[in-house]
Amino acid sequence: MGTASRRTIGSILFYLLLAVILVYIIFPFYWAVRSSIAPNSELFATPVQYWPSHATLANYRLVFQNADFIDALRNSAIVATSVTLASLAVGALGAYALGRFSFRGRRPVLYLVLSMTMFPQIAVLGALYDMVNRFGLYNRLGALILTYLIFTLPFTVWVLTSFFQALPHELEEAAYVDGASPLQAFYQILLPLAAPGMVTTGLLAFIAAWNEFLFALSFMQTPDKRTVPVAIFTFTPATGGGFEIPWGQMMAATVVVTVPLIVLTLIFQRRILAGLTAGAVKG
Amino acid sequence: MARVVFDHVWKRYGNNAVVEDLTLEVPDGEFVVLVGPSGSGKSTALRMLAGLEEISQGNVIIGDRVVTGLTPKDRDIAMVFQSYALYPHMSIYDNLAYGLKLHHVAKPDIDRRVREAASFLGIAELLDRKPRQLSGGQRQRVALGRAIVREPQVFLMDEPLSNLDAKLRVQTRAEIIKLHQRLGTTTIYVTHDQVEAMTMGDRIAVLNQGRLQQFDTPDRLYHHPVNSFVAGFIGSPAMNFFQMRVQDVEGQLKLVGEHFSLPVSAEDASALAAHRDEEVTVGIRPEDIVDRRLDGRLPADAVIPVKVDVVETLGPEQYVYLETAAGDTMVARMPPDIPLRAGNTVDVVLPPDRLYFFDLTSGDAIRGEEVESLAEAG
Repeated sequence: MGTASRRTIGSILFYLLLAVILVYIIFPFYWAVRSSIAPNSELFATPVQYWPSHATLANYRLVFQNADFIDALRNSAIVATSVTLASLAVGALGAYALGRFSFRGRRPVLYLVLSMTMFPQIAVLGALYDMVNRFGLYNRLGALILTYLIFTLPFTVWVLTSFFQALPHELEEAAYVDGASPLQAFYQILLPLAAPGMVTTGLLAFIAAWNEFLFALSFMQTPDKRTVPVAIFTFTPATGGGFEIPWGQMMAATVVVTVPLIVLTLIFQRRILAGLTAGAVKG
Repeated sequence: MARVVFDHVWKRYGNNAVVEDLTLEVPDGEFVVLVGPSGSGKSTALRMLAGLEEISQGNVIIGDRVVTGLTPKDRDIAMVFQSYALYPHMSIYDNLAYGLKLHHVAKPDIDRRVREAASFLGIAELLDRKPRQLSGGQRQRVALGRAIVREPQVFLMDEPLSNLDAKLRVQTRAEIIKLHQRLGTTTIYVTHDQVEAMTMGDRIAVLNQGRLQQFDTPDRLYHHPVNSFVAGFIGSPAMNFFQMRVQDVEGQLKLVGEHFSLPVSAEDASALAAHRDEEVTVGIRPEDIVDRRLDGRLPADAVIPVKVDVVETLGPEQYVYLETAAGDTMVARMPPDIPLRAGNTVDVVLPPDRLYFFDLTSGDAIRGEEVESLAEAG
C-alpha cells in the first residue's frame, strides 16, 4: 500500500472519529432545540420527526412570562459571576504564592487543595448545610457563592499555579529593578500574562456555578431564590392538572440558559488560545 | 553616576559559599566586566548588587550609599537581562516607559526620554509594536533602551549578548561600548566569554569558584596573570601548560624535563631560585611558540622537537596542535605560510622570556619583583 493511500485512509478515519465526537456532543443540544420549538402534540410523535412540521415559539413565550424563571436567571447570573470573580481573585493570589515561591509545605498544600475536589458533593452536603446555617446564610445567595468555591477554587489554583510557574523569573525581576513593588509586579506584569489561564479557569468556574444543582436545591428554599437548574426542574405545567411534565418549556428554558455559555466561550476562545507569553524571552 | 564597591561580600547557601569575600572597587564611570566559568559566582555577585539576591555578609555601596538592605527599586540601578525580559503584553513604548512611570516622572518628560532613547538606539519606528513582533537583535536594543531611559547611577548587564548570533554579537558589543563612551555611566557587565570581557572592559574581574582571582586591565590580565587559572582562562586558544623541574645544571638554573630541558631567563632566575629542585608548572601562549625556521636568532638551547598532530587553517593564521616527546600537547599559533603537515616533526622554540611559571600546588604565578610589589599595593 502506498503512502498516499495510507494517508487517505488515515484522514478518512480521522474525520469519521471527528463526526462521531461531534454527534455525541451536539446531538443532545440539537434535541433540546428541536423539542423546544415543537408543539406538544408533536413531541412524542412516531416515526421520529427530526424537525417539527409546525415549529412554534410558544414555549419560549411561556418561559419568559414565568416570573420565577426570570428571578432564577437573575439569581444564577449573580451567583455565577460572583463565584467566578471570587475564585479568580483568591485563586490567583494563592497560585502566585504556590507558583512563584518555594516554601516549606508547598507541595502538601497543593495536594490538599487538589484533594478537595475528590469528595462527592453529597458527602459534604450535610456538613455544609450546618455551616451555611451557622453563618446565617440559609436561603441566601451567599450560601451558594461560598459553597461553590469548594469545587471552583482547587481547579483555579492548580491551573493558575502552572501558569505562574511557566512565566520566566527574569520578567518579575526586571519589574523590581524598574521600581515595581512585589504587588505592582504581580498585577501589572504577571497577572496580564496569566490572562489566558484566568479566562479558561474563569469560564469553567462560571459554567460549574451556572450548572450546579444539588447545593442550589438544598440551601435555597423560596422560589425567588432558586437558580436556573432548580427552577427548570420545578417547572409546573399549566395543563394536564399539574401532572404533565412540561417538556417543551423545560427544553426552551434549557436552550435559553445554554446560550450565554456558548456566547462566552466563543468570545473568549481566541483569548484562551492566545500564547501571550510568546516574545517574553528569547525565541 | 557613581562608584560601586563590594566590601567583603559573601553569599552562602547553607554551608556552601558561592561568593567568597568579594572585595572590589569600581571607580565612577568605569566599564567593568565580571568574567568566569559557570559557577564562578559572577551572576550572583551582580544580582546581589541589583538587590535580587540577599547578601549573606558584607556590604555593597553605590555612590556614597550603603545599599545592602535596600530593595532593587531604591538602588537607582538599571539591569539588562540575558533573556531581555521584555514585558510581552506591553508595547515597546510602554516597555521603555514602565520604569519612569513607576518613578512618577511627569508624562511629557517620559515621552521625551522614551523617544530620545529609542532614536538613539534606532528603534524609534518600533515603539508601537509588541516584543513578539521584534527580532532578537531588536529585542536586545529594547532591553538596552529600557535601561538607558532610566538614567540610573549604574548599569548592570547579565550576559546581554549571549542570545544573539555571532555576527550580531560582535556588532552589538561595539554599540554597547559606544553607548558607554557617550553616557559615561558606571557599568558592571557579566559574561562567561573572555573575548567579550577583553574587548569591552576597562578593567576585568576574573572569578572562579566564588573567589576573585584578579582585577586588572585586559592588557595586564593577559601579560601578567596572577595564577594559572587566569592565565588559562584569558586568551584563545588557551595558554599551554606542562610540568618541569627547576634544577642547577653546571651552575646554571635550568628547567629539566624527561626529554628536553629549557634555559631560564635572567629575570626569572631569581624568582625560580626559591623553587630549586621542585616541579613547577610552565606556561606559554600559543603565539609565543615559534617555528625555528622562522627566526634563527632565538636561543638554540630553547629548541624542542615536536610532532604535528593537527593543523587548523584559519586564513590569516593557523593553529597547530603539537605533541612533545613527553606526551604533552600544545597549541601554537603560527603564520599561515609555514608549511606544516600532520605527522611531521618540527623544531619549535619556546623563548625563555615568554615563559610563565606557576607554583605546582597553589597555581600562583612565580614572578619577579614587579608582580609582588603590585600585590602589596592592591
